[in-house]
Amino acid sequence: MISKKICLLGASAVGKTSLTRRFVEGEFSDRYLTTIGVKIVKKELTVDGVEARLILWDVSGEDDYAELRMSYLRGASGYLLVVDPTRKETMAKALDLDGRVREALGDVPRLLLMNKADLREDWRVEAPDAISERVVETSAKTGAGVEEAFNKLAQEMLKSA
Amino acid sequence: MTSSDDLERLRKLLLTPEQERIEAIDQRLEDRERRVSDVVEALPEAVDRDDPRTARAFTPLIERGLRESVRKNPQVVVDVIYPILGPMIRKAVASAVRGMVESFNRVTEQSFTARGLKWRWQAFRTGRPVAEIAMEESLVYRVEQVFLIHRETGILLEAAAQEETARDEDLMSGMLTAIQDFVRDSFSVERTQELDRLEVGDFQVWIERGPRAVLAAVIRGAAPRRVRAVINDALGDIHADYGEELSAFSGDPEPFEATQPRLQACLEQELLPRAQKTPLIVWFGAAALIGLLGYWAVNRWQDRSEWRAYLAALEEEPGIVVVESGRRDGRRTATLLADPLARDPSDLLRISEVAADIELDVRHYLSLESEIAAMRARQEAEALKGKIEAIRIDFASGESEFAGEQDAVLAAAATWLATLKDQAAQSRLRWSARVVGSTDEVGDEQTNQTLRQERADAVRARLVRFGAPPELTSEAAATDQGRQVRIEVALEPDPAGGGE
Repeated sequence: MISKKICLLGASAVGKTSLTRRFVEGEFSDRYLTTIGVKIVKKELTVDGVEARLILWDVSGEDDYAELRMSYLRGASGYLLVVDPTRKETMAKALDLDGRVREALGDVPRLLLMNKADLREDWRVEAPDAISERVVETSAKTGAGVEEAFNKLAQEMLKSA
Repeated sequence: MTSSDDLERLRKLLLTPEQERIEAIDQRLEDRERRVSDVVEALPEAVDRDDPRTARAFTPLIERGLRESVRKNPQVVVDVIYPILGPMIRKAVASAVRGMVESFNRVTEQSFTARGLKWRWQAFRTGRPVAEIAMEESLVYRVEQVFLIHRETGILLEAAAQEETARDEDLMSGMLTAIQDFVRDSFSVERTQELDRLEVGDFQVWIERGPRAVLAAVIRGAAPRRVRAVINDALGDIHADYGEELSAFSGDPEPFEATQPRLQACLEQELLPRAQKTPLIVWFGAAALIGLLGYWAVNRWQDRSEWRAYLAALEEEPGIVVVESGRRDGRRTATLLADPLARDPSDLLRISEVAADIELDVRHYLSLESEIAAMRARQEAEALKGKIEAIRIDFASGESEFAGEQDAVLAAAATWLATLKDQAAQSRLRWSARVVGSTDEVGDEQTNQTLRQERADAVRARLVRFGAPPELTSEAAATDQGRQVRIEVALEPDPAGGGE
């Protein structure tokens, strides 16, 4: 079975851990627990008839106090940038991260996740039109778009491999 | 002339540029400064061309230069190589010290003789079976699991384990990589400083890194440094055999399944050597000693219990009283009071099994115990019987009256009969006495018969008068036994047992 490492990146409290939990365990909790360092989970899935094992590196969110450890990204075959559109600054953070990560990893498959789709009326920011095909709206709370996002990324990674 | 002028002109015309260049070259060759700057310009390029000859040419030069430099001022070289050597030496010393401490710990642990007791105590404390603790404790070390991890991605390539484990090897592999990254980012100044050992409870994780893959071994116990070499060798082999697969790795661990035997070989373990075998002779000696001790103890115990049984039997015996008992000079002693009618104490001894030397001090006394009293009464009764039966009352021929001087004897006989009755009662005997009259053969039988009866009656009457018990009977003898009367006494055990 093919194993692929993918990273979840974004500002703190955008819902990276909630997304992985929703994806891997099908659960959601309102409780916020900050991730320190990195949390690694595994999910096996079948994409286009190919069985694959995703090793998800849920890296602690970058904020004023903690900078992203680039070494965690090493060897990743793709990554997800997570944005909380109810907080405008998280979009800027995601785009900033994207630039740095691409420098380190090269042109690997990546998606921008507009999380908290269940709170659409509170959104303060929209994704830039230029990258609209790389954007998926998700909700860790309802589960909407989560499977699709991971599947889409896996599909692209397997294709590029 | 003209021709030579022409020739000169032609030469100038043709060769002037060359001439000038030759002059320029000459000038350049003359100019030392110029030549130096030419070499400076060309040299890096020449070295860069990586011609084997260059290296060959430079090697002696560099060696000589280095030697010269060290001779003149070693500090320069020291300064240069210190950043490389320093950490290496530190690492080597640290690992040597750690190895020493580990082996020292193991030695002290092994030479601890009360180990069994410790296990028992631990088992008691933790409620786990002793065998489990013994197993754990007697394990010097065991490589429980080995992970072959792709260095760049942290993805597990292959794993081997002593036994099936529930832990998720993919996640462990990822986490181990993340931890290494974290440590390197957080603590190391240089790339050469890496995390190569983790300790978690009873477990250690030893990490060996190659350029493309990492081998992590989960170890329980104190493994010797040699194990690291084993792991390192395996990693080296894997790099040599799977170099291309490792650099081309894009998520498919299948090609690395073949490394399984190599990983299995890393799963080493060592058990504590069993306690040194005690020579057989010591076992025999110990067994013999224990046997002897046991024999002696059992003997002594038996001896004592037999002695006690003997004393108890003596106490039980009618007419015997144990006054005191003890030991003197290894002999058992007892002081007894014994009625002459009682059984001989040494008879009892023969029945009993007392083997030890015994000294009995027997003193006679008269017992009033009922058995002895009865025995004595019986004895006396028997004596009286003899005395009474010895009496003969003589009669004159044809007479049924006896001479008056025989009254003294009859009085005594009467007293004896009364006493006999008392004694019989005491000794639970049934008694009976009859006065038997007899005649000589002279005269006819009819007359004689009557005479016999009359004589007996007369004696009985006199006896009763003198105080003999009235149960006394009288009768005629069946045959002629002389002109006399005698008294027959019968004593027989009373089956009813009733005394009075």
